[in-house]
Amino acid sequence: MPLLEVRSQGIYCPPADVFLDPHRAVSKAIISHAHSDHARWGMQHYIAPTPSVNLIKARIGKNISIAGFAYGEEFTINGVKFSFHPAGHIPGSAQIRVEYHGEIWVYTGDFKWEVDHVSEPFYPVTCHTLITECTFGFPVFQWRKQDFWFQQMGEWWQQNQEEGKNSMVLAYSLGKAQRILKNIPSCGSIYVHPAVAEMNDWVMELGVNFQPWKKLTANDKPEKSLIILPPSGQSDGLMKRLGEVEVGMASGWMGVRGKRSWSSVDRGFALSDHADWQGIIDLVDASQAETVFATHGNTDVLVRYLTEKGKDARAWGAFFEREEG
Amino acid sequence: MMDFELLVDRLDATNSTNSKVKALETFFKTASASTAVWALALLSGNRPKRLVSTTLLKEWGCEKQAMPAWLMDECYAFVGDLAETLALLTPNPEIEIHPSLSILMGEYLQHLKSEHLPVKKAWIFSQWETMGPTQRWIFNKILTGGFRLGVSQKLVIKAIARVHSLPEETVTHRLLGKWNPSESFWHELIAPTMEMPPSHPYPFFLANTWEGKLPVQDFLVEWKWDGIRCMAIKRNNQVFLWSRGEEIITHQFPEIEKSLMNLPDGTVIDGELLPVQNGEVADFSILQIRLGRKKVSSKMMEENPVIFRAYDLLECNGTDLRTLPLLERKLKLEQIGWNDVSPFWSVSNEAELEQFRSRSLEHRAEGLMLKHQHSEYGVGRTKGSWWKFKVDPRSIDAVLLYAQAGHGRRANLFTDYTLAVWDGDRLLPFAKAYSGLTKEEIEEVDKFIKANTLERFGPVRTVKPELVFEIGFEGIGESKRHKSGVAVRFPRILRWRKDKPATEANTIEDLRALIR
Repeated sequence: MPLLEVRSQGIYCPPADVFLDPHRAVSKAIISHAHSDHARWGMQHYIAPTPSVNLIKARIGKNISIAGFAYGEEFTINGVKFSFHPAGHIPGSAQIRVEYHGEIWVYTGDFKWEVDHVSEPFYPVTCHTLITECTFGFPVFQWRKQDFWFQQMGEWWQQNQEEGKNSMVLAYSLGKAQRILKNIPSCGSIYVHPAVAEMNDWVMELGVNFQPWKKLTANDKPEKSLIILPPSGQSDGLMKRLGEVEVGMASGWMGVRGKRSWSSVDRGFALSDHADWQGIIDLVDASQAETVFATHGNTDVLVRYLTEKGKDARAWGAFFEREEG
Repeated sequence: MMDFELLVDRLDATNSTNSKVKALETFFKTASASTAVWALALLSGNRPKRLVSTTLLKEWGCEKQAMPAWLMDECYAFVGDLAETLALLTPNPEIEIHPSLSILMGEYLQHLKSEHLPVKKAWIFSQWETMGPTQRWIFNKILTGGFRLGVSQKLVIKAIARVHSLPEETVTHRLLGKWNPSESFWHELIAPTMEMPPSHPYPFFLANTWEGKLPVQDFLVEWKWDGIRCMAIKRNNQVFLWSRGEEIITHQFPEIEKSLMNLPDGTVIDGELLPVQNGEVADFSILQIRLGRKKVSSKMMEENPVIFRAYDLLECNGTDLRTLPLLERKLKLEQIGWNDVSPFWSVSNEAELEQFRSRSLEHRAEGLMLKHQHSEYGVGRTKGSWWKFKVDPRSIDAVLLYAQAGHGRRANLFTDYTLAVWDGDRLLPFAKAYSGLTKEEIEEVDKFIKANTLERFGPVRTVKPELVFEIGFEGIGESKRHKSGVAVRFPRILRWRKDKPATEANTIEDLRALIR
């Protein structure tokens, strides 16, 4: 019997009777990170990496039953050993290592190799079977270093300032927003959407320091400022208040022109919190896994590629059809 | 290529027309003549022939990146553009080298002459190895011959005109027809005056769709013929027939060529090339038969006769008449001795106008033209004095049967639809339509297609026949080439009929009934 398998509720571990990142209500769920497509509402009991406990509570509810375990700390359920290891995706994100009778499986959740100065740095974990995400599972994705993008973003902000305009960056409120706030070269005042502000507070609790920022309130009238907000945070009222504004989007999908123009933003920054193609291949190698399951994304391409390279690779159902960058 | 690259990046990074013109001006102010002229050529679609076929280029891309063909195809299908796919797959170099655009294009032309594939391949590989991402994209776009940047030629002309203090019309005029991206052409283009060759046409003046609101009494009304808009020129005892697509098509129509020779020297006429049968204007498809032939036999001319119907006189005795009021030009046109002048008249009110419009089809016209009686012959689609007022497009309710992903910005979204009407209890595909839906609707249809795919044939999906769209088109005729037996012109989606189940879509009989 495999140690992990796909059930309609999500990834299931039969001997431990727990689910990993389930997308339907179950009694016990181990959560890789606090993004809403992984940490969902309605579980009777949650187990998560310690640094993401407050983030998950902030998103799902203060009163959920949740236990935290530090990175590397082992915990046992029905004789199955579990531990969390940094995934580098967003603050508090983890890969989940599962060991039973000497057999080791690792589920990456979402991950990236690049050190972004807000997430705990990723390291590969050796295993027999690897379940890897492949959101960007096409060789056309090869990320440039984040320094390049933050320089671009900084110059863009400056250029907009010279033209007397505000600069608005669309970015996920947890993870990408903090990464931008942490790394963009300062050149004026920075406002963030209330949803981002709340996440900032929790990430600061984890020991991350930011340059000065302000929560955007209805009375603020930003000028030549940078405004960070989630893609869903754009409203007509806000746009009116901001006057002349250039809109940028920070997402791995911006690396492809078609996606960029479809999103109809003025400027795209291909800054991703996921591994690129080579990053996935490197992890497959580094993990020394004999068997690889691909999930989240275009699994067919990765599976065929690895199979042709002599790996035992298989696709796991696409549970989470989505586009996150 | 640094300066051109910067321009491409700047054009790419903005949606505002003003910023685009500004970026173009900055570029043309500083670029050398040889770079400027190549940039103009690429931006306005005057590009050299392909260096290699895309099939070969794809193969070379696989070889260079040590990648199996299927993986390349998957990437291409995902990105939707081969040039971009190849640019994205190439690793970034340690140090980028930026040859100037003119040097790059010089080398390109040299390799174009060479028959030796390995030499071409080696050159392309060496470029890939040293170019940065934007540069690679530009280079690959040139290789695949699809360079487009979301800037119209009008915008480029505007920038050049501003930088060199020339009237925009002058630049437009000088760019008509064939030209080589040479330094000497650039100097001629931006020179204060330039000698024109006798074949040189004027830019066509185009009309916008009539919006009403203006007093109809001020306008001359004429039929809007459904043929090929052409400009006929006789100068230096030579004749030239230019199509709207800026192509000389004189030799495809020897009978017109012959009668144009009877015009006085120094004459330019704006008119319409029309197919005729039994003295009446006939179906557009006849013109297409004629256009396709390089050599025209007398049998071909007899079976598919055409005429040139004059609308306007732009030059008379070598004098440019374009600034004269339309009515004066019309009167001069009647005296020039051309045998077929399109009739014009005036109307006193909207109701009368509508009456004429409703009779368009009887006259085998696609609607009316309204031209202000005092109007000059302008340049391009300037809004204000010339209007077109077509008959309402005909429409039919059809069922979505097949779907295919779009290209470019619509890659990954199913935007190319094949639509069908009922033939008994079978659905018969009859048209492909691309546009007409809002972005939100496109996304909704895309979701439906992904969730309701019945079969896949390569990129094409057969979809559960459920969605009904109202399809509008301009014309309809019999066709032996189409399975449905009919061919529609300019099909497009008018709206999504969410209120109609597929069973209530139209039938092939309904469609055939629309053929006059």
